[in-house]
Amino acid sequence: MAAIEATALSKRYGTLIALDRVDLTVEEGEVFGFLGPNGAGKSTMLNILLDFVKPTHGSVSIFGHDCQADPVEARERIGVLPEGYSVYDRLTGRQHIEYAIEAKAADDDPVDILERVGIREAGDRKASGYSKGMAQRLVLGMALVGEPDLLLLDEPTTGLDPNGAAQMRSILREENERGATIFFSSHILEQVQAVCDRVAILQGGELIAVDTIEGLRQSLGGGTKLVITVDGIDSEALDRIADVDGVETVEADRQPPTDTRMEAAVEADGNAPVSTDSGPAASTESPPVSAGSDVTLEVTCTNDAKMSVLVALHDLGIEVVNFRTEEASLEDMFVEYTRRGRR
Amino acid sequence: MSWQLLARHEARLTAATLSSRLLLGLLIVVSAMSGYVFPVFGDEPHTTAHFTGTLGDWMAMLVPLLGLVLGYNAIVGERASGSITLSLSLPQSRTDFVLGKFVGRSAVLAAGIVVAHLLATALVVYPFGELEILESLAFLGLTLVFGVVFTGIAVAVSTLSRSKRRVTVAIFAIYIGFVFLWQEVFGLVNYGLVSAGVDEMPAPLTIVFEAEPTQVYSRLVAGFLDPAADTSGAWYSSEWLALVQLLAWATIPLGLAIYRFDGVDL
Repeated sequence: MAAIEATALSKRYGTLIALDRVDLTVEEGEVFGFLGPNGAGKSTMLNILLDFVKPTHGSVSIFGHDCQADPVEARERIGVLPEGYSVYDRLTGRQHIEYAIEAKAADDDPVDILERVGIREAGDRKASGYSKGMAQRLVLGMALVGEPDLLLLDEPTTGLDPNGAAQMRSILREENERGATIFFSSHILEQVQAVCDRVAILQGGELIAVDTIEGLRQSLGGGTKLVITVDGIDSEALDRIADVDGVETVEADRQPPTDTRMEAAVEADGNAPVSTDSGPAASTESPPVSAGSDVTLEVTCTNDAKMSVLVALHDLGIEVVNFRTEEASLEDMFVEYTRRGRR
Repeated sequence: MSWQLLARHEARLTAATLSSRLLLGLLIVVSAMSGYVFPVFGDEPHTTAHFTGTLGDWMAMLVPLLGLVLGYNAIVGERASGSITLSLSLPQSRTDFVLGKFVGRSAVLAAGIVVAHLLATALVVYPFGELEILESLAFLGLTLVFGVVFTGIAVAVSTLSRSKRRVTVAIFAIYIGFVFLWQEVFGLVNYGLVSAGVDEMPAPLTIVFEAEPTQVYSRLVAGFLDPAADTSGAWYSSEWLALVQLLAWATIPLGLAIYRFDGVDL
């Protein structure tokens, strides 16, 4: 049975369409990242799963329980880190955990849970005095009560320092190894990349991609990124590179790749970094882009096009000082996808 | 059944707040003073049955205030702050949540009413009064339901809006309107009709005017308990109808609110 199954799920607020016919299946045992820029509809989706918000059309279920028709059953086997919560000012951290234990009819030891999320020392203090990060840990602790089969987490690392974020990731990994399905939303891509089996990208309420990270990479032309340092280049040449078959994007950056070249770059000051975005109209006079100093080009292209790019540079008489290839990061893919989605 | 759990939590938290302690303290002090003074200045005989009229007047003023103040923030406060999302992320329904709040807060008010009533009754009985246990207990029962009515109205209003300010204004309007203005308006309309040459209030108008909960409560105390009260009137002013009306007030506003709240976006 699927952990989460959404069919044609839509939500409209007046004229604003927050979710547009979303079909999504999250399998049991997966770590699933729900990605999208702010306002894409991620929280609306989670709020419908929790029955805080009623969908305009469509339906969604958790382990086969319809989230609107049987909200209590749907929430029985899950742990939640919701969006926009606030802790109960008059309860201590420990009382929060005890509340979750009672409501879920679980038999966890509150102290163990507090220990696990790293706020054991603060457990007997009133939660009103907790920092944002501590509150986040506390609510994660409430979510962990009763060994849930599904963890729903909205922007889980908000308010956490890098240490806390790493701890959060390792807890999520442990929970996943125990067998829990994990579904979380985020706009921070590194996190998603680090822990997710599959991701969905949501934009303007529509799902524009659901795939593994590897799959996303492949669907983006192999997703290879070439980082090439050349001794100088002008806009016309940049356009020529962009026209090479298989090239997706070209970005020029005057920043030298190594510290030793810093001085040269500072001396050759005066020209703003130029990318292909400036377009042909802006470059009719072909002003030199940092002629005489090193320029770093970032070219995303298909695997096959790598050589063509280098050949094209050679044909233009541009000397390649250095080059390396990188796998496209999730961030590159994300930008690429959301850009496509906007067209 | 998780509303019991929620109610227990709610009662404990409500009883711990300063504002509810102050209000309950006020109720207890006023009742005690009323019980102390009654055998001194009140008309003979000094029985707890006759005392219901006096204490009932005080209760009719104070219990609505306490019920409304204890109840108004129950839902809107959690919605405004966002703590409701923690409670409703757990496997408990919205209905259980509202019921738990209502029962927990009603229980705090009920405890205050019981203490206030016992203390006042003891002061009436000792040293010269006479205990009429049946009337005294019936009065306590009615007053408890009366408290539940106002806690219920307040919790119901509390589910209607995300804005704390709006709820506060509505609650204030309800208190002033029901407890102070209602009878004045009744009097004015009556005066107007008499001036216009109409002898008697038309029955439907009277029914509407008498349906207000503090009047319903007063009619019940006068009709069933206070031997000194004048209880002549038309059938629709009877204490039996008042009993039905009181129970309706205790259940219908909250019931409607729970039904509606189940379908809204938080």
